[in-house]
Amino acid sequence: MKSTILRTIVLACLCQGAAWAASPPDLSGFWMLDFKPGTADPALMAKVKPGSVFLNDTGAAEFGPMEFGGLKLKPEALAAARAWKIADDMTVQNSCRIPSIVYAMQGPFPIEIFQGTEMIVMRLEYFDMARVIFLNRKEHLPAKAAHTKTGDSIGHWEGDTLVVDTTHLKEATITNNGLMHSTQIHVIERFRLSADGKQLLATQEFEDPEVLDNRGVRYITWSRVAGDHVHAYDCDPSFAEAYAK
Amino acid sequence: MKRRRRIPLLMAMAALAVSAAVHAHHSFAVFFDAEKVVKVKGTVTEFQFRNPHGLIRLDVADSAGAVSVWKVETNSPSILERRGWSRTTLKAGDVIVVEGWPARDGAPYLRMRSVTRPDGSVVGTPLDMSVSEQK
Repeated sequence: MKSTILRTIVLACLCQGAAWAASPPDLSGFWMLDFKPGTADPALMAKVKPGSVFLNDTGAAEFGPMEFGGLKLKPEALAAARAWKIADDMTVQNSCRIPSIVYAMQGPFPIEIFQGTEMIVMRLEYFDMARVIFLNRKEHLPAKAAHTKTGDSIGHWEGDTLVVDTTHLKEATITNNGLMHSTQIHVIERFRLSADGKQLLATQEFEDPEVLDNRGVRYITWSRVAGDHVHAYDCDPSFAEAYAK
Repeated sequence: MKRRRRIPLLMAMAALAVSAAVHAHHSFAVFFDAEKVVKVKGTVTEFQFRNPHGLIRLDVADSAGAVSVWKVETNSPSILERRGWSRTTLKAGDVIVVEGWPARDGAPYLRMRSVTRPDGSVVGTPLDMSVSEQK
C-alpha cells in the first residue's frame, strides 16, 4: 500500500515536471519597449539578489551627467566617467559604436523573439543586434573565448520565467553617460509574461567587480504588437559629419 | 558697430515637465535640456533620414530678416516610420514649425518633438501621442 502511494506521488511529480518542461510560456513575437515601465512586477523583483540598487533609467528615462542611480563606481571608473565628454559621442568614430546588451535591452527600440526548445533568438532593432540564448547548455564558454556585445547567454526555465545568464561581454556603456562596464560584467535577466500576455516583463541584474562596488538591477517591459517586425537599423556614422557642419 | 545676435522670430521657450524624451544613441539627458521646449519656424534646406538620427536643416529668419541655420535631430528613422514618417516626408523649401528640446550648450540644435506645417497639420504622430498609444 505504502509503495503504491509512493509510486503515485513520484509519477505525479514526474508528470508535473514533464508538463512544465514541455510547455513553457511562448515569448515569441514582436515587442515594443514601454517608455514607462510602471510598477515593477513583484514576482520578478522577489528574485533579485538583496543589495542590488534599482536603476530608474529604463524606457524614456535616462540619467544626466555624473548620475548613476546609486551605483557605486570604483575610483578608476569614476575618473573615466568624469573625463567623458558628450561631444566625443558625436564623432564619426563613435556615433555608431554599438552598446552591449546591458544598455541595448532597455534602449527605446523593439525586440523580436523566436522561441525554440534548444535556443531562443532575440533580434534587437537597436544596432541590428541578435542574441542567441542557449537552453541546451549549462556551462558558459571557456574564459578565453571571444567577448562580444551580445556575450554568451545560457538560459533555463524556472516555472513561467526564463532565466538568462550572460558573460563574455565586451566593454560598453552601462548608463550612456560615461560609465563603462568591463569584460567581467555578469548579467542575469528574468523574463515572464504579464497575466494577460500582452506585456513582456523583465529584470536585468548585473555586477562588475572591476568597475562597481555594488550590483544594479533594471526593470524593463515591452508591449506585444501584432504584425510588426524589427526594422533595419543600418547605422550611418556620417550623421556625425552632419552634426558638425 | 557690432551687431547683437537676435532671437529668431518664432522661438519661444517654455518650461515643461517632460517624461518622454526618447533617447537613442548619444545621451539625450546629457546633450539636451529636457526641462525646456523651443519652437522654431523655418524653411527646410535639407532632410536626412538615416540612423542613428535623422536631421532637418532649417533656415530661420528673425524679425529683421537675418537668417540663421538651425539643425533638428530626429528620432531613429525606424521609430519615425512607425509614426508615419518617410524619407520623402520633408523636402527642401517646405516651411515648418518644429517644437523640440534645445541643446544644453546653447547651439541652434534641437531634438525634435513635433513638426507642424503652416496649415496646422501635424507631420506624422508626435512623440507624446505615440507614447500614450502604446500604453
